[in-house]
Amino acid sequence: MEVGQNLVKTVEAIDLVKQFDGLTAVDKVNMSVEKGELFGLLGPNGAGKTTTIKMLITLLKPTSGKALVAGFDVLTEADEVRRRIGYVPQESALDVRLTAAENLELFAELYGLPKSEIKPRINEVLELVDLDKRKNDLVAHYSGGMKRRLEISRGLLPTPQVLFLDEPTLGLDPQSRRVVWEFIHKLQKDWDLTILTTTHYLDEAEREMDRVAIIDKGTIMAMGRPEDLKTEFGKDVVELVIKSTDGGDSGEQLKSKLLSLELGTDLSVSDRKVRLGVPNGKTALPLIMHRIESVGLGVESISVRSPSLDDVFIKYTGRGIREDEGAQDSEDTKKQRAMMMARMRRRV
Amino acid sequence: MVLRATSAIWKREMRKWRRNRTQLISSLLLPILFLLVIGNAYSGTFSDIPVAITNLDSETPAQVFQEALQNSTSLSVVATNISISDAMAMIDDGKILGFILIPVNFSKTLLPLPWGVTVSPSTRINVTDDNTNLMVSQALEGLTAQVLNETLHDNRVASWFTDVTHLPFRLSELSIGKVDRYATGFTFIDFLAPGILLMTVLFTSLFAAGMPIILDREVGYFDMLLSTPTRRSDIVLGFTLAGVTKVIAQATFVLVIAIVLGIHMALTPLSLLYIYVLATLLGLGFVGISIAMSVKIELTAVQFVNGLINFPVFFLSGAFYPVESLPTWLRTVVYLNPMTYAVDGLRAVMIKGASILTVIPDVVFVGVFALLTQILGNLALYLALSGRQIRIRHRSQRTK
Repeated sequence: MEVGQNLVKTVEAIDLVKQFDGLTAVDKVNMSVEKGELFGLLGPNGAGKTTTIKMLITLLKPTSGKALVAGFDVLTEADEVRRRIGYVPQESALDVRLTAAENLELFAELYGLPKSEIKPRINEVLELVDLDKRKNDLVAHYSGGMKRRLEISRGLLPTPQVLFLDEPTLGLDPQSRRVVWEFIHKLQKDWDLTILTTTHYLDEAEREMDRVAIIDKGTIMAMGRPEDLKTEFGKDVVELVIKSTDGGDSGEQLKSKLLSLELGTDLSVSDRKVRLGVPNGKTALPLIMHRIESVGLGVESISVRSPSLDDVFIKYTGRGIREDEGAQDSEDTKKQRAMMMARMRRRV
Repeated sequence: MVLRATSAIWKREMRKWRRNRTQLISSLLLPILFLLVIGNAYSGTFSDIPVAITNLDSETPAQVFQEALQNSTSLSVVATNISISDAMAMIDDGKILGFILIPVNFSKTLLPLPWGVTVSPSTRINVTDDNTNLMVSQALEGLTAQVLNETLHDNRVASWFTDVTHLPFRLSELSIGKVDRYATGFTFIDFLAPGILLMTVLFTSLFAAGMPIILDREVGYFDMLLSTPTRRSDIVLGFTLAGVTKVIAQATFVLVIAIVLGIHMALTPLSLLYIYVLATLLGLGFVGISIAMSVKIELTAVQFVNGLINFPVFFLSGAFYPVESLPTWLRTVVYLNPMTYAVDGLRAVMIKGASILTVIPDVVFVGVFALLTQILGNLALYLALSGRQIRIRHRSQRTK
């Protein structure tokens, strides 16, 4: 029994791989989440976040690799793992014709809570997410944010050691998103709960999470505290727009031209927008202007700001997290879609 | 309790079902509509068939016959004494469905030879009908014969005969004595009721058992169920039991409706038990099929696939059309259809009040069908739930 308690690493994945019909959705993921930590898997849609979570909560069998949750192997001790986790899926999975209390009652039974504890326990978790006064309302009358909170409270029924939240704020308005995060933080603090979430909202990852792993195409590209990742990137970010009248340079030509100028680190070019990292923005600006103009290019606008997680994301994946959603026909998207289809077929 | 998960899933399904008013109302309305509309629409009796009559005979028997035709509730005489060509035109226009011609020598054919005439084809009652309307056409011929028979039994015909011949009228009758074996006043709706009950069982089991599973699968609810430390077989059993409960409830609705509508039924506790045994077995059978399909089928295809099963199973079972009316090649399908045996058995226990012993072959056939599909359905769902996922360890293996 001390096994679970003394472990610092509550979740640990070692070389975790998942393939669907020959497509690799998760490729040798190594990560660990410490007790009481709020850890986020950050990546675009189809990056492998949900697949990783599903392996950790014993819903999918890893193709290879190993994972321990609360000290138990997800493959050989699935039952023990299931006893110690709460799961809040990405899609809303509630019975709208049932009341909140009835929705929870079913899962209290499935988690095997003692009969006498079911009612007080339901009240307790509903109180935590501030829904106790509406427990006898049909879920059909709930707002999106309330449904999400209800689902989180359902994940708390078994008094889990780890709570898995898959895109907890997906589809919610900004205000509801904030409320949901407040509850998540409260849980983390009051219950000393380890929370593993996924998100593709960079601002949330930056603001809410203790540690994040940037995952793209099934691979973890970077992992660490948001502040550390940002510092790694550089102290300041310079963004500038090259005048469109100057030359007919393609993006690649422009990039190589700018790279030769040695303006700063992690330079990226998108259309005519250039982004790069410098140790000190204020002193770097005149120098950058000077160097660009020396090769016959004009600067339309230029600005300095502190780095965001978005900059880190671009550094590791070569593109913005939201740009990816717009990319309709890229090979990546096709591959991701094929993978999602394969997953849907598998899912029962 | 070992089956806590099963009963929790069952409870959930029941709550969802109870609160789905559209589904509840339609499940009540469908059997009522079927019984009332089909049961009465084709009851074997007709009324107000539009016809025209032309009477060329002025003697009493012809008058009595015409009168009887006009008084018949089955007929509605819209024209009399019109020419044959006008009558044909009226049939063509759809104004009448039949034309009855009473020939000149109609009455005289009743008399013995010195007074009368020999019966020749031209002196018979002549019925011309719209034979594109098959059922009405057949009915008209039967009706005319029936009215003619009544006419011959009329006192006026007998006194006319005596007046002309000074002989007593003795009708030489050659008819079949028909004795109803069961309660009199037995109508088509009574014949239909067991079939409607089983049709409801069929529709409910196909729809209400698999549909929640398909929905749960598509919205990812199963992931939630499977992330809990519950045995997969307990979940499967919960869904199956919920499906069967819905079937039994549905059968009860139809029974109550049938009683309210005054349908002939054997209502002893024992016959009720037999009714439930047969209905439940058939329900179990199709619940199994429904669950097996729900593992693979997509939401948008449900109606189509269910229709593919419902339609032949219902219409090729003798529930609606008698098996005897089908061509031989189709009868093979009928004899392989479990619904056939359920209908046959149910008709016997429900209407005739037969003991279940007399329908044992029916019960065995439906029972074997239920057993096989239940194995299929539960296995399919169990494998789908645990197949590619991590299997839960058995309780006894859990230590500490």
